[in-house]
Amino acid sequence: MEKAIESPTEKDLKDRSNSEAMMKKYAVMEEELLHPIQHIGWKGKVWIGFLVLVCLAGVYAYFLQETKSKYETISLRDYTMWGVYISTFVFYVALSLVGALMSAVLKLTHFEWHRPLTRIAEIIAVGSIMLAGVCIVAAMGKPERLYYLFTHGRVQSPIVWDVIVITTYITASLLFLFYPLLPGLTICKDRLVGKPRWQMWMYEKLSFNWKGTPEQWKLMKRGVKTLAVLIIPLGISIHTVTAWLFSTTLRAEWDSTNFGAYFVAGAFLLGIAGMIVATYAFRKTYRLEKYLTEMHFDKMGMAMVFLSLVYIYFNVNEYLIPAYKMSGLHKNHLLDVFTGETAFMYWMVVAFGMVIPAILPLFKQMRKPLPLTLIAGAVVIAAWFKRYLIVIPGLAHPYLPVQDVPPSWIHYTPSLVEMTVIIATFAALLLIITVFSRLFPIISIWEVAEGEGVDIEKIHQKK
Amino acid sequence: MQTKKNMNYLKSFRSLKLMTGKVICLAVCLLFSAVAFSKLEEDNSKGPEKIKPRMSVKYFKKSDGSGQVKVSVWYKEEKKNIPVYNAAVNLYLNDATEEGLLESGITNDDGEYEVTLPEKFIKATQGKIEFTLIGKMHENDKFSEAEEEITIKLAEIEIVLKEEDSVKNITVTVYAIGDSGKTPVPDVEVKIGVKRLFSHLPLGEPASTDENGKVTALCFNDIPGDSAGNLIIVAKIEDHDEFGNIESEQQALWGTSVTINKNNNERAFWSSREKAPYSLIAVSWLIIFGVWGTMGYLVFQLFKIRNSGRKI
Repeated sequence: MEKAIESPTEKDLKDRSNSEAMMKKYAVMEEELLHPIQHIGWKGKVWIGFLVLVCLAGVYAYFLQETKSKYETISLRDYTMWGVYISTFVFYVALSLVGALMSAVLKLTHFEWHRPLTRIAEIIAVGSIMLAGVCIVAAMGKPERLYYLFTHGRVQSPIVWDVIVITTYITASLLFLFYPLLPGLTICKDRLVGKPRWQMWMYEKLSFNWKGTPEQWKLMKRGVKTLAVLIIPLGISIHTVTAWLFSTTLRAEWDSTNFGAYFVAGAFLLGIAGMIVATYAFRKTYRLEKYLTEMHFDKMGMAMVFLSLVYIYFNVNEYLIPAYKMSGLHKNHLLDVFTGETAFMYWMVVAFGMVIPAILPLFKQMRKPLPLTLIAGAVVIAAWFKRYLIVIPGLAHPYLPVQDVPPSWIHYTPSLVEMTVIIATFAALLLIITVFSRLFPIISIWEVAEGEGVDIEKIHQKK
Repeated sequence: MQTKKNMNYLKSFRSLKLMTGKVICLAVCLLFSAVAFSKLEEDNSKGPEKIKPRMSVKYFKKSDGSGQVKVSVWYKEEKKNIPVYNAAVNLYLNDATEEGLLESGITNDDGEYEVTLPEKFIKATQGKIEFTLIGKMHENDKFSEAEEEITIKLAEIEIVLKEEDSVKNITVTVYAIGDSGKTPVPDVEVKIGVKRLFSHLPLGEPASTDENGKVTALCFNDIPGDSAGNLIIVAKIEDHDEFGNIESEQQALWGTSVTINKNNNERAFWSSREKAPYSLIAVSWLIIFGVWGTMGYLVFQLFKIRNSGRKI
């Protein structure tokens, strides 16, 4: 007697239907998130071309700086031997903390809304820290002697600590970017059509034979978790050590025990602001409203309020307390900053860089994408000027009276060459982010799918 | 007719007068021009006027017995002394001839030429009680010749150190060396001090020697000396008309001993690369190995992922 074929139960039918729905959902997700890579419009090409031109202008400006007299091309002198190159370096180091903040912290604390944001945060971090290194080299009088730092560096020197920490952080950030990208690379290899051979070859090689086996998933997720734990102290230490470049000196304006925490707090604020701007740009440009939702902006807005308040607290410690004492060493600098030459810049930074981001996003309407992005944009600009105010006025007030020196030694104004190089670094950062987003998925497909309840491991195995 | 004749005569007289005046004027002009041009030619052929420089010669006798001479050359312009640099200067002994030539040289950017007196000087002045030094700058395109001479009488400074009841007395005697031997010299200003790294620490105000050629000073207590506590007491005469500049010194165990802490060889935060503190080296290597070791492990895991994919 033949055994009767069992008919599928209701549960089986339901499971099958759910599975098919998930597969469909995942397929749509893949298509939408691969769209920016698959199709690059003329606007995208013009944008990349424009960024390349600006970068080339920066290269030419640097060439002029190195071949002609530095006294003519740049404004660095005996007192202000650190200028916009160093302040921009500090700015980029601060911006790079976004990787640790948005990616690692939120991952480890299981805030699910981090999923579409992690890769954006990681590429900003990688790009920023690369450009930080470029700014340092641009500031060097003899860049060909850079290797001396490695061959003759003193381990007692904060500069050597900074080199070690930056090198370590960039390696960790690259790993943190690469590890969760593995499934995405395989997806690109399998799904993209009509792409150049070199691009497909790149996906093939970089995917490291990713097949989506349980063992591979396990290794990959464990690696991501390890990196998330590792990158948080690294991120904090990179900015603390950068702060120590200043606070280990005896200059009155920098001789502060507050500097390490003050810099880290500023970095967190700049990181979240940079993240908001980048998220809005991708949301609009790549039409990713479905993934980079208003909820994300709402959450980031609240985070920005909190981080602004923390930063205000550290600024009060840094400026108000010395102002209360007005001791001789601090007096000139503080008067200059509060009421003198740099007063306008200082109060604008306080307003747009701290007070406004602490107050406006308290209102729900201000946490909508566009208003929040405008506030965050102002924070980013104010952050650059804040680093300028930390570096340059501190140098302009030495211990000995400034007398019998040329006027260019007293007042520092960045030269055209310096500003061209700085603007080129901004363009380079945008270029790195843009090119990355055109070659690799800017939103982690598997992480978002996992967050939506899709059994991503099963799907990859089936494939 | 007479009137017409007179008028004609008057006319010709007037014209003659006019013509004579013109001739005289022309002659004067010509004469003046001739004189002016000849003067101009004379001036041009003479060339621009040369500056007359000034010169001073100073003699220094050091405590080790060696002698030095400093020749300074300058000129005055708008009440300022401007040094004459790159000027060729000759130094002579007693006689500004080839025989008396001691040294030659060029003035530096400060217009000075300093030279240690050679063996020739020592031999020539042996047994002599005085000598003459002559400095001479030769004429060049810009400057005319300059010459200066000084006559130096030999002198000596004797320092006697005595400590009584913790009071450190310094007695300095100045002697002029003559045919009859050493003679104390009164009214010579002497500066007494302690030798320091760059100059001398004065012990009291400069004082003139008494009728016995003596001047005294007290040394302070608690002046840092070397590791043993030695001080070098210095007595000097500066710019004396007869004796020039003379210096004499004497060592005394009157200072406090100072042990310089040569911590260059100690391991510290401020030392060289090789002398970093052990704790700092240990902590930094621990952190570096810990973090980079972890990252190395993660890179290894990547290759494990790759190998895992190859099995399929």
